[in-house]
Amino acid sequence: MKNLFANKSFSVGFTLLSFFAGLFLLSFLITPFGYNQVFEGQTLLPMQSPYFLGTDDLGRDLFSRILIGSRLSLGIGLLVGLLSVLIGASLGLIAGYFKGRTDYWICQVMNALQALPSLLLALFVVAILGQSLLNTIISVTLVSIPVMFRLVRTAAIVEAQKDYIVSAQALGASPLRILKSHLLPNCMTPILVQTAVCCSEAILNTAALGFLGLGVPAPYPEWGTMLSDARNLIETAPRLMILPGTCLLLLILGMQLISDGLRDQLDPKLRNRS
Amino acid sequence: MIAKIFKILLSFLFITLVSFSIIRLIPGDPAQNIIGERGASEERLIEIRKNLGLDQPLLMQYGHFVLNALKGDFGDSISSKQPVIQEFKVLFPATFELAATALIWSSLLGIGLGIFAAIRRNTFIDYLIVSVSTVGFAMPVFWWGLVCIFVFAVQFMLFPVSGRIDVIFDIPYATGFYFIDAVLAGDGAAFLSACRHIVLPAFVLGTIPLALVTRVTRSAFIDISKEDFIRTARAKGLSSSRIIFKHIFKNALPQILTALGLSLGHLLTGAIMTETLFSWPGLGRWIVTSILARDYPVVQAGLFYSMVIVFAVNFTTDEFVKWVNPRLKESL
Repeated sequence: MKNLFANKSFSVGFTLLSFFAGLFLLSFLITPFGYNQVFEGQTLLPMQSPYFLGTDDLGRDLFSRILIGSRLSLGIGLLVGLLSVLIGASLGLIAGYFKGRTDYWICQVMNALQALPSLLLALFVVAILGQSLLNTIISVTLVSIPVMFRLVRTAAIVEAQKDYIVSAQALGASPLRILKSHLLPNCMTPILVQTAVCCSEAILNTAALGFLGLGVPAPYPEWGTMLSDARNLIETAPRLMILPGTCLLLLILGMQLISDGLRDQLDPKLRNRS
Repeated sequence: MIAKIFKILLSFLFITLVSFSIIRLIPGDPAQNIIGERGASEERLIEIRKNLGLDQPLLMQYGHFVLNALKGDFGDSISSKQPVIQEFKVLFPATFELAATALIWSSLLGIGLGIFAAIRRNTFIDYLIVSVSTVGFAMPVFWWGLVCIFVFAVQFMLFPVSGRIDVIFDIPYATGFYFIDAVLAGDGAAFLSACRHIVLPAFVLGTIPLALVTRVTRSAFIDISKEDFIRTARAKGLSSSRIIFKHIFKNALPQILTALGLSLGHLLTGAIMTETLFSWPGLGRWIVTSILARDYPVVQAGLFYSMVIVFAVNFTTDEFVKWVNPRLKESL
């Protein structure tokens, strides 16, 4: 752990992420107003008391909306990271360990999922399923699974040939036990690094869907949706566009720096691959 | 060679299968979906089902779909009533023009900056380039676009923010590429207007590829400059410019090309955001509006075309990288 903080990328990323974790916690404690609470006749107010960051075009408090938006972005990001570990990494371990036909079919499905770039796939999944919070999470998760799968599978194939796995097999350990207590701990580095990448991609894709009007539906204050609402107000109230966007950029940057730092520190061999 | 043809055929089969199923995966009756939420009489529904061939067995329907896809026939768009293929022919050059411009400037500048940073390693300018490209890589394209509009179009009013050309120009359609069409028509003012319109979208679209190419070029250069043959070249007394361009660059090229292939993916998704932002009449915006308008023939065709484009791009990049670096042939 001490080593990790010696890494510049990791510590900067960790600081950024802590800031947003703070916002996340703060949003449960001191949100001044409701995210959808409209103050009539108080539209587009500049920064002034009691509206810390002013109000938007419908007369809603911007500070409250950004605070609660952090729940959505960070929450979806972490949830998708977790889901892609659960699904993608387990499939990767299984495919890498059993090889043969199992591996072949899982790989075919993953190839099919990667036939389109991430955002396009997410778009078409939303087109099929319809627009809702749950469907946003489903589509963003689907996009992140194959990337995680690929990395873990490669790591698992390398590890599965090593002596300790062979001796565990010879001792008669069940496949489940080998996967859980031998293979998984030794594939932890790529999983950790990739989880951070998946989180940042998930946050970006959620916001991108929101910006295109196909993400988390209104009135939830998702940062991407807020940006798309602010598009027509660039001239009159640029802060409506600047503030949520800066939050988005810093959060994504934080996640990417953490993954860079983890990669540099835990696995120097991977360092220059991007 | 046969393996390659087989791969192409298999991919085509897969692409048609996916785009065939998309309309049938959407919950509800396809005919009902196509006609929309306004509702229609029972006779009209039967007529639509008959036109779409929905009354036939599934395998027959799929066969028809493949044959039509080969001809490029995906029916008519519901919102514009025009054949989908006709719309595609107009929109494709727009996206291509934008993506190509973005790719060219970002890869040239990215390779240059990467080399520069690698040569000046661990100096202030190197740190600056690395930090900026790290931030650039994390940049959400749509927000970056808004910031650029705010700075260049609203504050300084330097560039227009929507469309491909000023409405006063009416250049005859020849290729669909406005640069070429304007030159063919000999209309200098129209050419200038097309240039002014592409500056901001191409700048925004190229930002993330620029960051990616810079990072990869820099790290590839640093890696290779540590190799023994570079030390030998220096010991022989070769000039440093000769070492950089003749020895290091040549060996870093495969890595750089792979990064360029990766950024093509970024370009395609970036094009969706950029086109929406700048009202650029291209494929990305077409797909988004058709999904929002539930214009299912266009959604289906959009899925088909984007998969074909992605496949073609990946296939050519792979082949090109193999051609540049024959050592990879065995491993791929």
